[in-house]
Amino acid sequence: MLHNIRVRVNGEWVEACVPSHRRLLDFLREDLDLIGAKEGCGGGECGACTVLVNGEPINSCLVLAVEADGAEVLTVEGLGDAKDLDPVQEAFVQNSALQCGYCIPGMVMSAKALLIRNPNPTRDEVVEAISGNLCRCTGYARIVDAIMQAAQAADAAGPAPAGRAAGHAPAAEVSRAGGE
Amino acid sequence: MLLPFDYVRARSREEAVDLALRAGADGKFLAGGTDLLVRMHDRQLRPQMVIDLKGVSGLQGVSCCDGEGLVIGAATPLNRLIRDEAVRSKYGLLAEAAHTVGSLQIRNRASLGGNISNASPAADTAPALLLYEAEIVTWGASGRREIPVGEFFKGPGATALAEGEFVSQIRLPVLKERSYGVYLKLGRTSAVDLAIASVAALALEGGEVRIALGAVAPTPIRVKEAEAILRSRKDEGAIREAAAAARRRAAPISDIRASKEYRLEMTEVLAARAIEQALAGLAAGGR
Repeated sequence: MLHNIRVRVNGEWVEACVPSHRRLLDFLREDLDLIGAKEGCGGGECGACTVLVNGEPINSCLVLAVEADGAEVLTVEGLGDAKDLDPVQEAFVQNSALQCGYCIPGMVMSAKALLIRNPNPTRDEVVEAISGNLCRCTGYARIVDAIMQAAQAADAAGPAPAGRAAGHAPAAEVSRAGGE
Repeated sequence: MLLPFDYVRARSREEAVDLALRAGADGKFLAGGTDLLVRMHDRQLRPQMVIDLKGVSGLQGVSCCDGEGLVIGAATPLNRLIRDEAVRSKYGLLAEAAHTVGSLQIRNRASLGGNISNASPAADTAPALLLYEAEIVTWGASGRREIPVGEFFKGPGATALAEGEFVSQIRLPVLKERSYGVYLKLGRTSAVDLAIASVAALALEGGEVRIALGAVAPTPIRVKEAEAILRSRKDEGAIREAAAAARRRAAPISDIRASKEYRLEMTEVLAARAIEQALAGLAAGGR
């Protein structure tokens, strides 16, 4: 069964035709070439596939693409690029908060969601916010440092827009055919 | 990757029931998907038809009717419950229990109705619902039913739901007295894991203490034998006796998470702690 869906991905409306069994993760990676979100466990335990749907972090391996119809999706690609990093990304770089990097897009998105909801988190709140994101290089301490620093940086810079994608100029409609 | 199936977003209760009856054993209801899609991914389930309940009216949100307790839409994500002021202020034990489910990402999708419909003996919200004496509102071929939560769970993965029937709401009866609830969950890790054993205790201003157990019997269970001991006495000895009574009611299995013997030991330890903490919380003001 095929479904026509319309999803706002990183500020741009995307129209696509997807089969029922297409997961949001596969839709992002395979159909839209947004390969930041990773598939680790495929079962909602590792958090490597974390993206924001309507501002809330979710495991994109446990959401069907058709369920995201009409939703706003933010992936790590929507935060910033090498020339213009998001404060969260910048803080991860400054704190060397990564080793292999596989979990980092998910970690960054969980951190972003926390800071949107709670711009001045305690260290415990940071730990809780990333408790659904596994890092097997044991890099948690630096990741927590980075998120704390990102919060302080944003605090010093005054109120920041919640997610840069939200501020995008109206973008060209992108139409793609999904499916197999 | 998932195997192919057909997805339909039901627009009404009647349509959902109709679709499910036509699909029969090949149909599955979908709310948050955090259990269903995992099992489909692992090929434990291969439904041909997935019926999304999230758009059915009455299945979303928390409504508070004066003097009648609380009505929770079955597809309401757990994080919405946890952040709801009415739930936090009057039914704090449910918020606390819901907070131990999975991770933040999971709780943004997982629903209260899904947590109980899966009927895992370890369902974290079940002990709290037992202690608040919730009514499970269902819709099926014969219309609406209300099932006391104590009669809802029939065994691991088994419920009182008939074919084509789904949970539409969870009703929490009004709690006039002040109370204080505690949910203690022992897992292998402090997040994401399922319970090895769990105990909920709810102390009420009138002197009653209610106790329920998770993950240590074929279903979540309430332990009235333990409650009876605490009716007149709440001293250290009575708490020890009640905890021992909880242990006697437990009938756990050994599995990948823990042995039967360890679960029995921990049931007693957690029960004593939960009762102590609930009584202390009530004494400190309650909710």
